[in-house]
Amino acid sequence: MGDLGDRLTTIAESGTSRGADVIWDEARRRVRRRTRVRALRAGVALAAAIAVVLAVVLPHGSTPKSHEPAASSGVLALPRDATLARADLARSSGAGISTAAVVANDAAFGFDLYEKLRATAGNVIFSPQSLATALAMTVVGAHGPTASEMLHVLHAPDTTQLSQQMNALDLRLLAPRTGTPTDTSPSEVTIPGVGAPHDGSPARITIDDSMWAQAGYPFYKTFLDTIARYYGTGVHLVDYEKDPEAARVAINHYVNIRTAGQIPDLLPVGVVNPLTRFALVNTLTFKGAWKTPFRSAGTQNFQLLDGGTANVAMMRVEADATSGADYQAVQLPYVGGASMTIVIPDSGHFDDIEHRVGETLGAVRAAPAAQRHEVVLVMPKFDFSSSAELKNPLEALGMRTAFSYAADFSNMTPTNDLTITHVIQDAHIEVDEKGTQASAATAVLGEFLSLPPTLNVDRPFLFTITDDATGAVLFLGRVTNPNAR
Amino acid sequence: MTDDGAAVFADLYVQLRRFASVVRSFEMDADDLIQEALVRTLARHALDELDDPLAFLRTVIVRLASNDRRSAGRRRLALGRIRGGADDVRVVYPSDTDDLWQLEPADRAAVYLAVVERRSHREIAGVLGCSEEASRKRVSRALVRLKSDLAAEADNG
Repeated sequence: MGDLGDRLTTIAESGTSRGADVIWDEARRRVRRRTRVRALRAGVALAAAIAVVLAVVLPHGSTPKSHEPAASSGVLALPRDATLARADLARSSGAGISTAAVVANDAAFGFDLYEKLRATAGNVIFSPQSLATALAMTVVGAHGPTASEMLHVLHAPDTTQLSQQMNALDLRLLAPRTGTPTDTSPSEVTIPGVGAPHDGSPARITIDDSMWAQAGYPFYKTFLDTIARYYGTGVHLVDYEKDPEAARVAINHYVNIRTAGQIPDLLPVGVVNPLTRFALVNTLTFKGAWKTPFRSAGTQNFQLLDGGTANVAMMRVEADATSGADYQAVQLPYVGGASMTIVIPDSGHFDDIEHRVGETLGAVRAAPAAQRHEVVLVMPKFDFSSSAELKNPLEALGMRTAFSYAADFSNMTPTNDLTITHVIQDAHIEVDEKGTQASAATAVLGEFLSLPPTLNVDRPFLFTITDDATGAVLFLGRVTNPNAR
Repeated sequence: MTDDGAAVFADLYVQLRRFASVVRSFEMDADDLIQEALVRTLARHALDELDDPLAFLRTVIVRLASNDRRSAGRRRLALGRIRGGADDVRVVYPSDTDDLWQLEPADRAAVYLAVVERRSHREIAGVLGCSEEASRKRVSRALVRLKSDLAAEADNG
């Protein structure tokens, strides 16, 4: 028996192992491919069955008047000849849902991201709220590590709570505000670039979510129900496969209208292609009149970070200031319950304060009235735009799987063959004597998983043949001309 | 499929590889067999949802190896007919372990689990999908056959 045991052990330990990781990855890839093929086969079979049923049921020459999308096992194949598909669900009222946690989480996410973005040269503006909303919509379709990484980056506990809280917060931000300016100003002034006159009316925030998906592509009804219930949106149907440029133009046109022309070209040429399958888009605009309007203060030199100076247009107002060890700060209220906080680091402390911007802003906002003192604030007017591809910063924060071949959006589509390729945000701000107008638009683009990039060996190369187990180099050489014999 | 599944598989891999190396047909690669079993399993279950993923994967491995052996047998018969039955196309590699390769995959699995891993017949029956009594008989018959093969080798030698 001992001899038999030895022989069995010899067999058991024979051969060279490929390793658990390699086998697992290959098995996962094969399972995903099988799932995709089965879904496609099921789709073809379902379409054929529907065609047969329609041929039998419909009178000859008639066409259906409304779209009854093919639905099976909770999957909705988005119709090809419609422009919008939407679940027949009212948006949740958000009543009774506390927003304190999501406000804190979104702020923490924003400060995390700012830390990654602050290396960018020049002025920076981005909207954590717009980005968090677009990612929250996306995470509804994510599963496994893809979802857990996104939730971790968003400081969110779980997908359902995130959607409920985000919905409640959006609805509260959208609620009408009341208030009047403390100092009436000429009412016919128009903020540059904005159509409506800036008349000192209460601050107004607009938020819009939309999804742009490939017509004919299968999505889970639960996913579509969730974005209808908590993000108030249906699915705009476009044909990325046949005309990606038309889809890009349609999305940009929609965003341009929602941002009052401030963001006319969110998606640059090339980011939408025939492999694109969805775009989840959020727009957020803010328009507010200062509670106490500024007055023009001529021009003045502004010290640049590189030591130079710029002559800029300034404005002045009386305001309450507070101080920290290495900064001064003011809070400037708008009519209707919103405010801008400005932190002015002492000379040589910009990097340090920027590094702890969240902590500093928290301290400024929490400063008791007794610590505030009146100042005459003189500050520049400013007006700039910023466009950022946020894929790399988000990866740096830990959201890696969603951008990789291992991305798992199996709660969005049964084919589970999507990965996020771009997270793009454009933002614009204008600040002058009368108030502020700011807009942001964020797009999360998902693509059909394509083949890995090609590495074309079209130039001289080196090679070795090595025994993997021992590392012994058996051959070593180079090829400078494959035709030479 | 989750990372937990990957971790479960990583924990089981060494045991699975030893088992598959014994159960596979001679021409088959053990890792290929494990991978095929993993694909079949993951298509229906997450590993971390299974009560006993090691036993489950071993069962799939035995069935795949048995199917492969039957297919190989049919191929040999078909090739034999094409060649008029003149040639036996089976390749035999004489070795110290040759007698073991003559056993059915399920017999090899049973003997390996009983002799090397010293599993109970209840556990072996769980992997092979049979009763404990059937497991006992299978191990016993396999050992008898191995002894007779060894005796025949000794006589020939």
